[in-house]
Amino acid sequence: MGISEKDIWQRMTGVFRQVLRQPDLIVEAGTTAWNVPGWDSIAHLQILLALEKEFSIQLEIHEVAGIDSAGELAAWIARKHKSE
Amino acid sequence: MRLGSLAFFALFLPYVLLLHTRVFSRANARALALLALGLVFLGSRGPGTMAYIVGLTVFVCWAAQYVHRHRPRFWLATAAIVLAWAISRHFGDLGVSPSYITFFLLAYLTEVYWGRQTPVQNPGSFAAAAISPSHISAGPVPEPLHYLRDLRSPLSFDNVLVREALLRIMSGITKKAVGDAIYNWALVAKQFDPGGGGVPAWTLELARGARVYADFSGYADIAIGVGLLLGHRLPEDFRLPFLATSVSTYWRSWNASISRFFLHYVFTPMSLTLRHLPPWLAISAAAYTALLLSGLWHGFTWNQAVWGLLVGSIIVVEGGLRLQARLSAVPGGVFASWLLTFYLMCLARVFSLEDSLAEAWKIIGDLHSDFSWRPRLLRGLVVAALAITLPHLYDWWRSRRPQLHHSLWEWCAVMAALMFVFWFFSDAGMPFVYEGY
Repeated sequence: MGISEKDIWQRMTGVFRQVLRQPDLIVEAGTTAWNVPGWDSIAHLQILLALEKEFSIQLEIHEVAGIDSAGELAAWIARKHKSE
Repeated sequence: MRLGSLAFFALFLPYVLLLHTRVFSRANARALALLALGLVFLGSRGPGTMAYIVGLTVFVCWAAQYVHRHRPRFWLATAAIVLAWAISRHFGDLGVSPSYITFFLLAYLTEVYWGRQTPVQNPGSFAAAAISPSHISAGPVPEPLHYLRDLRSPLSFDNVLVREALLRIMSGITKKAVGDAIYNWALVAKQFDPGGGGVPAWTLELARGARVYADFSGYADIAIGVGLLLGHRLPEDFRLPFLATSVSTYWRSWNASISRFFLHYVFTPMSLTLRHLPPWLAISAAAYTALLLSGLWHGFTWNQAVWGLLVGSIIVVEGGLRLQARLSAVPGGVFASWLLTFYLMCLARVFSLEDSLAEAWKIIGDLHSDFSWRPRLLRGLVVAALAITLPHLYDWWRSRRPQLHHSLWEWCAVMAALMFVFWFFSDAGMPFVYEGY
Protein backbone atom coordinates (compact mmCIF):
# COMPACT_ATOMS: atom_id res chain seq x y z
CA MET A 1 0.00 0.00 0.00
CA GLY A 2 1.39 3.42 -0.97
CA ILE A 3 1.91 6.26 1.43
CA SER A 4 2.16 9.92 0.51
CA GLU A 5 5.10 12.09 1.47
CA LYS A 6 2.75 14.45 3.28
CA ASP A 7 1.38 11.58 5.34
CA ILE A 8 4.90 10.46 6.25
CA TRP A 9 5.86 13.92 7.49
CA GLN A 10 2.62 14.38 9.39
CA ARG A 11 2.87 11.10 11.26
CA MET A 12 6.60 11.44 11.74
CA THR A 13 6.14 14.89 13.28
CA GLY A 14 3.61 13.37 15.68
CA VAL A 15 6.13 10.74 16.76
CA PHE A 16 8.88 13.33 17.26
CA ARG A 17 6.59 15.57 19.31
CA GLN A 18 5.48 12.69 21.49
CA VAL A 19 8.93 11.19 22.12
CA LEU A 20 10.67 14.53 22.67
CA ARG A 21 7.71 15.95 24.61
CA GLN A 22 7.70 19.08 22.51
CA PRO A 23 4.13 19.63 21.23
CA ASP A 24 5.09 22.60 19.04
CA LEU A 25 8.15 21.05 17.41
CA ILE A 26 8.46 21.66 13.67
CA VAL A 27 10.11 18.75 11.88
CA GLU A 28 11.75 19.44 8.51
CA ALA A 29 14.22 17.65 6.24
CA GLY A 30 17.13 19.51 7.82
CA THR A 31 16.08 18.76 11.40
CA THR A 32 18.90 16.93 13.16
CA ALA A 33 19.97 16.08 16.69
CA TRP A 34 22.14 19.20 16.57
CA ASN A 35 19.24 21.62 16.22
CA VAL A 36 16.61 20.00 18.46
CA PRO A 37 17.21 20.12 22.21
CA GLY A 38 16.56 16.74 23.77
CA TRP A 39 17.19 14.70 20.58
CA ASP A 40 20.01 12.71 22.12
CA SER A 41 21.16 9.17 21.42
CA ILE A 42 18.52 7.64 23.68
CA ALA A 43 15.72 9.76 22.21
CA HIS A 44 17.01 8.82 18.73
CA LEU A 45 16.50 5.19 19.50
CA GLN A 46 13.06 5.77 20.99
CA ILE A 47 12.13 7.69 17.83
CA LEU A 48 13.28 4.79 15.64
CA LEU A 49 11.27 2.26 17.64
CA ALA A 50 8.20 4.51 17.66
CA LEU A 51 8.46 5.02 13.88
CA GLU A 52 8.72 1.26 13.39
CA LYS A 53 5.44 0.87 15.25
CA GLU A 54 3.72 3.90 13.70
CA PHE A 55 4.43 2.87 10.11
CA SER A 56 4.37 -0.91 10.72
CA ILE A 57 7.77 -1.42 9.14
CA GLN A 58 10.60 -3.75 10.06
CA LEU A 59 13.69 -1.93 11.25
CA GLU A 60 17.01 -3.30 9.99
CA ILE A 61 20.18 -2.25 11.82
CA HIS A 62 22.23 -1.60 8.68
CA GLU A 63 19.50 0.68 7.29
CA VAL A 64 19.19 3.02 10.25
CA ALA A 65 22.61 3.02 11.92
CA GLY A 66 23.86 5.97 9.88
CA ILE A 67 20.67 8.05 9.80
CA ASP A 68 21.20 11.51 11.29
CA SER A 69 18.37 13.74 10.07
CA ALA A 70 14.59 13.81 9.76
CA GLY A 71 14.97 14.01 5.97
CA GLU A 72 16.91 10.73 5.91
CA LEU A 73 14.32 9.13 8.21
CA ALA A 74 11.47 10.18 5.89
CA ALA A 75 13.35 8.79 2.87
CA TRP A 76 13.96 5.53 4.73
CA ILE A 77 10.25 5.19 5.62
CA ALA A 78 9.23 5.86 2.01
CA ARG A 79 11.74 3.25 0.77
CA LYS A 80 10.51 0.67 3.26
CA HIS A 81 6.89 1.21 2.32
CA LYS A 82 7.72 0.81 -1.33
CA SER A 83 9.59 -2.45 -0.77
CA GLU A 84 7.15 -4.08 1.70
CA MET B 1 57.50 14.44 11.48
CA ARG B 2 54.39 15.72 13.25
CA LEU B 3 51.24 17.14 11.64
CA GLY B 4 51.45 20.91 11.97
CA SER B 5 55.25 20.98 12.31
CA LEU B 6 57.47 23.09 10.06
CA ALA B 7 59.02 19.93 8.59
CA PHE B 8 55.59 18.65 7.64
CA PHE B 9 54.54 21.84 5.87
CA ALA B 10 57.91 22.15 4.13
CA LEU B 11 57.07 18.83 2.49
CA PHE B 12 53.31 19.18 2.28
CA LEU B 13 52.74 22.59 0.70
CA PRO B 14 54.95 21.99 -2.39
CA TYR B 15 53.34 18.54 -2.59
CA VAL B 16 49.85 20.11 -2.72
CA LEU B 17 50.92 22.46 -5.51
CA LEU B 18 52.26 19.48 -7.45
CA LEU B 19 49.07 17.52 -6.77
CA HIS B 20 47.01 20.21 -8.48
CA THR B 21 48.98 19.96 -11.73
CA ARG B 22 47.63 18.08 -14.74
CA VAL B 23 49.94 15.12 -14.07
CA PHE B 24 47.83 14.14 -11.07
CA SER B 25 44.40 14.89 -12.54
CA ARG B 26 43.60 11.20 -12.92
CA ALA B 27 42.29 9.33 -9.86
CA ASN B 28 44.98 6.60 -10.09
CA ALA B 29 47.85 9.08 -10.25
CA ARG B 30 46.36 10.97 -7.33
CA ALA B 31 46.00 7.78 -5.28
CA LEU B 32 49.64 6.96 -5.99
CA ALA B 33 50.73 10.43 -4.89
CA LEU B 34 48.61 10.17 -1.73
CA LEU B 35 50.12 6.77 -0.98
CA ALA B 36 53.63 8.19 -1.38
CA LEU B 37 52.83 11.05 1.01
CA GLY B 38 51.35 8.66 3.56
CA LEU B 39 54.38 6.38 3.35
CA VAL B 40 56.81 9.28 3.81
CA PHE B 41 54.77 10.50 6.80
CA LEU B 42 54.66 7.05 8.38
CA GLY B 43 58.27 6.31 7.44
CA SER B 44 59.35 9.35 9.42
CA ARG B 45 57.98 7.57 12.51
CA GLY B 46 60.09 4.50 11.80
CA PRO B 47 60.04 1.43 9.55
CA GLY B 48 58.22 -0.65 12.19
CA THR B 49 55.37 1.86 12.32
CA MET B 50 55.12 1.92 8.55
CA ALA B 51 55.15 -1.88 8.28
CA TYR B 52 52.48 -2.29 10.98
CA ILE B 53 50.05 0.31 9.61
CA VAL B 54 50.47 -0.70 5.96
CA GLY B 55 50.22 -4.40 6.90
CA LEU B 56 47.01 -3.81 8.86
CA THR B 57 45.53 -1.72 6.05
CA VAL B 58 46.27 -4.32 3.39
CA PHE B 59 44.85 -7.03 5.66
CA VAL B 60 41.59 -5.08 6.10
CA CYS B 61 41.36 -4.45 2.35
CA TRP B 62 41.56 -8.19 1.78
CA ALA B 63 39.32 -9.02 4.78
CA ALA B 64 36.59 -6.67 3.49
CA GLN B 65 36.55 -8.46 0.14
CA TYR B 66 36.33 -11.78 1.97
CA VAL B 67 33.56 -10.55 4.34
CA HIS B 68 31.63 -9.27 1.30
CA ARG B 69 31.47 -12.88 0.08
CA HIS B 70 31.34 -14.67 3.46
CA ARG B 71 29.39 -12.43 5.83
CA PRO B 72 29.70 -14.62 8.99
CA ARG B 73 33.47 -14.06 8.88
CA PHE B 74 32.91 -10.39 9.82
CA TRP B 75 33.29 -11.07 13.53
CA LEU B 76 36.54 -12.96 13.05
CA ALA B 77 38.01 -10.10 11.01
CA THR B 78 36.79 -7.56 13.58
CA ALA B 79 38.35 -9.54 16.42
CA ALA B 80 41.68 -9.69 14.52
CA ILE B 81 41.70 -5.90 14.02
CA VAL B 82 40.84 -5.21 17.67
CA LEU B 83 43.50 -7.66 18.83
CA ALA B 84 46.11 -6.00 16.60
CA TRP B 85 45.09 -2.62 18.04
CA ALA B 86 45.27 -3.87 21.64
CA ILE B 87 48.74 -5.36 21.13
CA SER B 88 50.13 -2.32 19.35
CA ARG B 89 48.48 0.11 21.76
CA HIS B 90 49.68 -1.52 24.95
CA PHE B 91 52.84 -3.38 24.10
CA GLY B 92 54.30 -1.47 21.19
CA ASP B 93 55.65 2.01 20.73
CA LEU B 94 54.68 3.00 17.21
CA GLY B 95 55.28 6.71 17.62
CA VAL B 96 51.81 7.17 16.18
CA SER B 97 48.49 6.29 17.76
CA PRO B 98 47.09 3.07 16.26
CA SER B 99 43.57 3.97 17.44
CA TYR B 100 42.39 6.37 14.74
CA ILE B 101 43.31 4.17 11.80
CA THR B 102 41.71 1.26 13.66
CA PHE B 103 38.43 3.19 14.04
CA PHE B 104 38.46 3.98 10.32
CA LEU B 105 39.22 0.38 9.34
CA LEU B 106 36.52 -1.02 11.65
CA ALA B 107 33.98 1.46 10.29
CA TYR B 108 34.90 0.52 6.72
CA LEU B 109 34.64 -3.22 7.42
CA THR B 110 31.26 -2.76 9.12
CA GLU B 111 29.92 -0.73 6.19
CA VAL B 112 31.01 -3.51 3.83
CA TYR B 113 29.35 -6.08 6.12
CA TRP B 114 26.12 -4.06 6.13
CA GLY B 115 26.25 -3.89 2.35
CA ARG B 116 26.45 -0.11 2.19
CA GLN B 117 30.03 0.02 0.94
CA THR B 118 31.48 -1.85 -2.01
CA PRO B 119 34.88 -3.26 -1.02
CA VAL B 120 37.86 -1.51 -2.60
CA GLN B 121 39.65 -4.06 -4.79
CA ASN B 122 43.06 -2.44 -5.08
CA PRO B 123 45.10 -2.56 -1.82
CA GLY B 124 47.22 0.37 -3.04
CA SER B 125 44.19 2.63 -3.52
CA PHE B 126 42.78 1.57 -0.18
CA ALA B 127 46.08 2.12 1.64
CA ALA B 128 46.37 5.55 0.01
CA ALA B 129 42.99 6.50 1.48
CA ALA B 130 43.59 4.93 4.88
CA ILE B 131 47.05 6.29 5.64
CA SER B 132 46.55 9.90 4.61
CA PRO B 133 48.45 12.16 7.06
CA SER B 134 45.26 14.18 7.64
CA HIS B 135 43.86 11.56 9.98
CA ILE B 136 46.43 8.84 10.56
CA SER B 137 47.75 9.85 14.00
CA ALA B 138 44.76 11.62 15.58
CA GLY B 139 41.95 13.95 14.62
CA PRO B 140 38.62 13.36 12.92
CA VAL B 141 37.99 9.81 11.78
CA PRO B 142 36.60 9.96 8.23
CA GLU B 143 33.23 8.38 7.48
CA PRO B 144 34.18 5.68 4.95
CA LEU B 145 31.17 6.17 2.63
CA HIS B 146 31.74 9.91 2.13
CA TYR B 147 35.49 9.84 2.34
CA LEU B 148 36.10 7.14 -0.27
CA ARG B 149 33.60 8.84 -2.60
CA ASP B 150 35.36 12.22 -2.15
CA LEU B 151 38.71 10.69 -3.08
CA ARG B 152 37.32 9.39 -6.37
CA SER B 153 35.99 12.77 -7.45
CA PRO B 154 38.34 15.04 -9.43
CA LEU B 155 40.53 17.49 -7.55
CA SER B 156 39.93 21.11 -8.47
CA PHE B 157 41.65 24.26 -7.32
CA ASP B 158 38.98 26.23 -5.53
CA ASN B 159 39.99 29.59 -4.03
CA VAL B 160 37.32 29.52 -1.33
CA LEU B 161 38.30 26.01 -0.30
CA VAL B 162 42.03 26.81 -0.24
CA ARG B 163 41.32 29.91 1.85
CA GLU B 164 39.26 27.85 4.28
CA ALA B 165 41.98 25.20 4.43
CA LEU B 166 44.74 27.70 5.18
CA LEU B 167 42.69 29.42 7.85
CA ARG B 168 41.84 26.12 9.49
CA ILE B 169 45.52 25.16 9.51
CA MET B 170 46.57 28.50 10.97
CA SER B 171 43.84 28.54 13.59
CA GLY B 172 44.83 24.97 14.51
CA ILE B 173 48.47 25.89 14.99
CA THR B 174 47.45 28.92 17.04
CA LYS B 175 45.17 26.84 19.23
CA LYS B 176 47.97 24.31 19.77
CA ALA B 177 50.30 27.09 20.88
CA VAL B 178 47.58 28.47 23.17
CA GLY B 179 47.12 25.01 24.66
CA ASP B 180 50.84 24.66 25.33
CA ALA B 181 50.97 28.13 26.86
CA ILE B 182 48.06 27.30 29.18
CA TYR B 183 49.75 24.06 30.18
CA ASN B 184 53.00 25.83 31.08
CA TRP B 185 51.13 28.59 32.89
CA ALA B 186 49.11 26.05 34.88
CA LEU B 187 52.31 24.28 35.96
CA VAL B 188 53.73 27.57 37.18
CA ALA B 189 50.45 28.47 38.90
CA LYS B 190 50.50 25.10 40.65
CA GLN B 191 53.95 25.82 42.04
CA PHE B 192 52.71 29.12 43.46
CA ASP B 193 49.68 27.58 45.14
CA PRO B 194 50.63 24.19 46.51
CA GLY B 195 48.25 24.53 49.47
CA GLY B 196 45.14 23.27 47.69
CA GLY B 197 41.69 24.68 48.29
CA GLY B 198 38.71 25.18 46.02
CA VAL B 199 39.87 28.16 43.97
CA PRO B 200 43.31 26.78 42.91
CA ALA B 201 41.71 23.40 42.24
CA TRP B 202 39.10 24.93 39.91
CA THR B 203 41.79 27.11 38.31
CA LEU B 204 43.82 24.03 37.46
CA GLU B 205 40.79 22.07 36.35
CA LEU B 206 39.63 24.84 34.02
CA ALA B 207 43.19 25.23 32.73
CA ARG B 208 43.36 21.49 31.99
CA GLY B 209 40.03 21.59 30.18
CA ALA B 210 41.18 24.62 28.19
CA ARG B 211 44.48 22.95 27.33
CA VAL B 212 42.96 19.68 26.15
CA TYR B 213 40.33 21.52 24.09
CA ALA B 214 42.82 23.92 22.49
CA ASP B 215 45.27 21.11 21.78
CA PHE B 216 42.83 18.58 20.40
CA SER B 217 40.54 20.92 18.49
CA GLY B 218 43.70 22.58 17.17
CA TYR B 219 44.84 19.24 15.84
CA ALA B 220 41.41 18.67 14.28
CA ASP B 221 41.56 22.09 12.60
CA ILE B 222 44.97 21.30 11.09
CA ALA B 223 43.77 17.87 9.97
CA ILE B 224 40.63 19.31 8.36
CA GLY B 225 42.71 21.99 6.58
CA VAL B 226 45.21 19.40 5.34
CA GLY B 227 42.33 17.18 4.20
CA LEU B 228 40.74 20.03 2.24
CA LEU B 229 44.01 20.64 0.40
CA LEU B 230 44.15 16.92 -0.42
CA GLY B 231 40.59 16.98 -1.81
CA HIS B 232 38.45 15.58 1.00
CA ARG B 233 36.44 17.11 3.83
CA LEU B 234 36.90 15.43 7.19
CA PRO B 235 33.95 15.65 9.59
CA GLU B 236 33.95 18.38 12.25
CA ASP B 237 35.35 16.89 15.44
CA PHE B 238 34.37 19.59 17.93
CA ARG B 239 30.90 21.14 17.99
CA LEU B 240 31.23 23.62 20.86
CA PRO B 241 31.18 21.00 23.64
CA PHE B 242 31.58 23.54 26.45
CA LEU B 243 28.28 25.14 25.43
CA ALA B 244 26.38 21.83 25.62
CA THR B 245 23.28 21.79 27.79
CA SER B 246 23.26 18.03 28.33
CA VAL B 247 25.98 15.46 28.97
CA SER B 248 24.76 13.48 25.97
CA THR B 249 25.25 16.51 23.70
CA TYR B 250 28.63 17.19 25.29
CA TRP B 251 29.75 13.64 24.59
CA ARG B 252 28.59 13.82 20.97
CA SER B 253 30.26 17.23 20.51
CA TRP B 254 33.67 16.29 21.89
CA ASN B 255 35.76 14.29 19.46
CA ALA B 256 32.52 13.95 17.53
CA SER B 257 33.81 11.52 14.92
CA ILE B 258 34.74 8.98 17.59
CA SER B 259 31.45 9.51 19.46
CA ARG B 260 29.68 9.00 16.13
CA PHE B 261 31.63 5.75 15.67
CA PHE B 262 30.42 4.43 19.04
CA LEU B 263 26.87 5.62 18.37
CA HIS B 264 26.58 4.13 14.89
CA TYR B 265 28.56 0.95 15.30
CA VAL B 266 28.01 0.05 18.99
CA PHE B 267 25.10 1.85 20.67
CA THR B 268 22.44 1.78 17.92
CA PRO B 269 23.09 -1.79 16.65
CA MET B 270 23.33 -3.17 20.19
CA SER B 271 20.18 -1.47 21.47
CA LEU B 272 18.25 -2.59 18.38
CA THR B 273 19.53 -6.14 18.79
CA LEU B 274 18.32 -6.11 22.41
CA ARG B 275 14.94 -4.57 21.63
CA HIS B 276 13.10 -7.71 22.78
CA LEU B 277 14.14 -6.69 26.31
CA PRO B 278 12.37 -3.89 28.21
CA PRO B 279 13.41 -0.61 26.49
CA TRP B 280 15.14 0.86 29.58
CA LEU B 281 17.26 -2.30 29.91
CA ALA B 282 18.22 -2.44 26.22
CA ILE B 283 19.11 1.25 26.12
CA SER B 284 21.03 1.17 29.42
CA ALA B 285 23.04 -1.92 28.40
CA ALA B 286 23.93 -0.35 25.04
CA ALA B 287 24.77 3.04 26.56
CA TYR B 288 27.01 1.54 29.25
CA THR B 289 28.79 -0.68 26.72
CA ALA B 290 29.39 2.20 24.29
CA LEU B 291 30.61 4.56 27.00
CA LEU B 292 32.75 1.92 28.68
CA LEU B 293 34.45 1.12 25.37
CA SER B 294 34.75 4.83 24.66
CA GLY B 295 36.58 5.23 27.97
CA LEU B 296 38.76 2.16 27.60
CA TRP B 297 40.17 3.08 24.17
CA HIS B 298 41.96 5.90 26.00
CA GLY B 299 43.71 3.21 28.07
CA PHE B 300 42.94 0.00 29.97
CA THR B 301 42.79 1.64 33.41
CA TRP B 302 40.26 1.81 36.24
CA ASN B 303 40.12 5.56 35.76
CA GLN B 304 38.95 5.26 32.16
CA ALA B 305 36.43 2.57 33.17
CA VAL B 306 35.06 4.86 35.89
CA TRP B 307 34.87 7.72 33.36
CA GLY B 308 32.87 5.53 30.97
CA LEU B 309 30.51 4.23 33.65
CA LEU B 310 30.03 7.69 35.14
CA VAL B 311 29.22 9.38 31.83
CA GLY B 312 27.08 6.38 30.83
CA SER B 313 25.07 6.65 34.07
CA ILE B 314 24.51 10.37 33.63
CA ILE B 315 23.40 9.91 30.01
CA VAL B 316 20.98 7.11 30.95
CA VAL B 317 19.49 9.14 33.82
CA GLU B 318 19.18 12.43 31.93
CA GLY B 319 17.80 10.61 28.86
CA GLY B 320 15.31 8.65 30.97
CA LEU B 321 14.10 11.76 32.78
CA ARG B 322 14.14 13.92 29.59
CA LEU B 323 16.05 16.37 31.77
CA GLN B 324 17.15 18.74 29.00
CA ALA B 325 13.63 19.15 27.58
CA ARG B 326 12.14 19.65 31.05
CA LEU B 327 14.76 22.19 32.10
CA SER B 328 14.55 24.17 28.86
CA ALA B 329 10.83 24.68 29.51
CA VAL B 330 11.37 26.66 32.74
CA PRO B 331 12.85 30.19 33.02
CA GLY B 332 16.62 30.03 33.51
CA GLY B 333 16.50 26.30 32.88
CA VAL B 334 18.82 26.41 29.86
CA PHE B 335 21.49 28.17 31.92
CA ALA B 336 20.98 25.69 34.78
CA SER B 337 21.34 22.70 32.45
CA TRP B 338 24.45 24.23 30.86
CA LEU B 339 26.01 24.82 34.30
CA LEU B 340 25.13 21.32 35.48
CA THR B 341 26.56 19.78 32.29
CA PHE B 342 29.77 21.79 32.57
CA TYR B 343 30.18 20.86 36.23
CA LEU B 344 29.52 17.15 35.68
CA MET B 345 31.91 16.97 32.74
CA CYS B 346 34.64 18.73 34.74
CA LEU B 347 34.27 16.01 37.38
CA ALA B 348 34.25 13.25 34.76
CA ARG B 349 37.34 14.71 33.08
CA VAL B 350 39.27 14.40 36.34
CA PHE B 351 38.93 10.60 36.15
CA SER B 352 39.95 10.57 32.51
CA LEU B 353 43.08 12.69 32.95
CA GLU B 354 44.43 11.38 36.26
CA ASP B 355 46.60 8.28 36.52
CA SER B 356 44.92 6.69 39.54
CA LEU B 357 41.55 6.70 41.28
CA ALA B 358 43.17 7.96 44.49
CA GLU B 359 44.52 11.06 42.71
CA ALA B 360 41.17 11.64 41.01
CA TRP B 361 39.27 11.47 44.29
CA LYS B 362 41.79 13.85 45.91
CA ILE B 363 41.24 16.43 43.16
CA ILE B 364 37.46 16.03 43.37
CA GLY B 365 37.78 16.60 47.14
CA ASP B 366 39.84 19.77 46.47
CA LEU B 367 37.26 21.04 43.99
CA HIS B 368 34.67 20.96 46.75
CA SER B 369 36.88 22.21 49.59
CA ASP B 370 37.19 25.59 51.24
CA PHE B 371 36.92 28.62 48.90
CA SER B 372 39.12 31.52 49.97
CA TRP B 373 38.87 34.43 47.55
CA ARG B 374 42.31 35.97 47.81
CA PRO B 375 42.88 38.45 44.91
CA ARG B 376 45.88 36.53 43.52
CA LEU B 377 43.90 33.30 43.44
CA LEU B 378 40.98 35.03 41.83
CA ARG B 379 43.26 36.42 39.12
CA GLY B 380 44.38 32.89 38.29
CA LEU B 381 40.79 31.69 38.09
CA VAL B 382 39.90 34.52 35.70
CA VAL B 383 42.89 33.66 33.46
CA ALA B 384 41.86 29.99 33.38
CA ALA B 385 38.23 30.94 32.64
CA LEU B 386 39.40 33.15 29.77
CA ALA B 387 41.64 30.37 28.48
CA ILE B 388 38.70 28.00 28.31
CA THR B 389 36.41 30.65 26.81
CA LEU B 390 38.48 32.28 24.06
CA PRO B 391 39.26 29.30 21.77
CA HIS B 392 35.62 28.28 22.19
CA LEU B 393 34.43 31.75 21.36
CA TYR B 394 36.53 31.65 18.20
CA ASP B 395 34.97 28.31 17.19
CA TRP B 396 31.50 29.64 17.94
CA TRP B 397 32.16 32.69 15.77
CA ARG B 398 33.51 30.49 12.96
CA SER B 399 30.50 28.16 13.16
CA ARG B 400 28.17 31.19 12.80
CA ARG B 401 30.11 32.47 9.77
CA PRO B 402 31.12 29.51 7.63
CA GLN B 403 31.81 31.76 4.63
CA LEU B 404 34.45 34.39 5.32
CA HIS B 405 34.00 37.54 3.28
CA HIS B 406 37.11 39.37 4.37
CA SER B 407 40.26 39.34 2.34
CA LEU B 408 42.38 36.25 2.80
CA TRP B 409 45.41 38.39 3.53
CA GLU B 410 43.65 40.24 6.34
CA TRP B 411 42.90 36.99 8.08
CA CYS B 412 46.34 35.60 7.34
CA ALA B 413 47.94 38.65 8.95
CA VAL B 414 45.80 38.38 12.08
CA MET B 415 46.32 34.65 12.44
CA ALA B 416 50.04 34.85 11.70
CA ALA B 417 50.45 37.55 14.34
CA LEU B 418 48.55 35.51 16.89
CA MET B 419 50.46 32.40 15.96
CA PHE B 420 53.77 34.17 16.32
CA VAL B 421 52.90 35.57 19.74
CA PHE B 422 51.80 32.25 21.15
CA TRP B 423 54.51 30.27 19.43
CA PHE B 424 57.15 32.65 20.72
CA PHE B 425 55.92 32.50 24.32
CA SER B 426 55.21 28.81 24.47
CA ASP B 427 57.00 25.51 24.09
CA ALA B 428 55.91 24.70 20.56
CA GLY B 429 57.70 21.36 20.56
CA MET B 430 55.21 19.56 22.77
CA PRO B 431 53.42 16.62 21.18
CA PHE B 432 49.64 16.70 20.71
CA VAL B 433 47.83 15.16 23.68
CA TYR B 434 45.63 12.83 21.67
CA GLU B 435 48.48 11.41 19.62
CA GLY B 436 49.20 9.42 22.79
CA TYR B 437 45.92 7.52 22.59
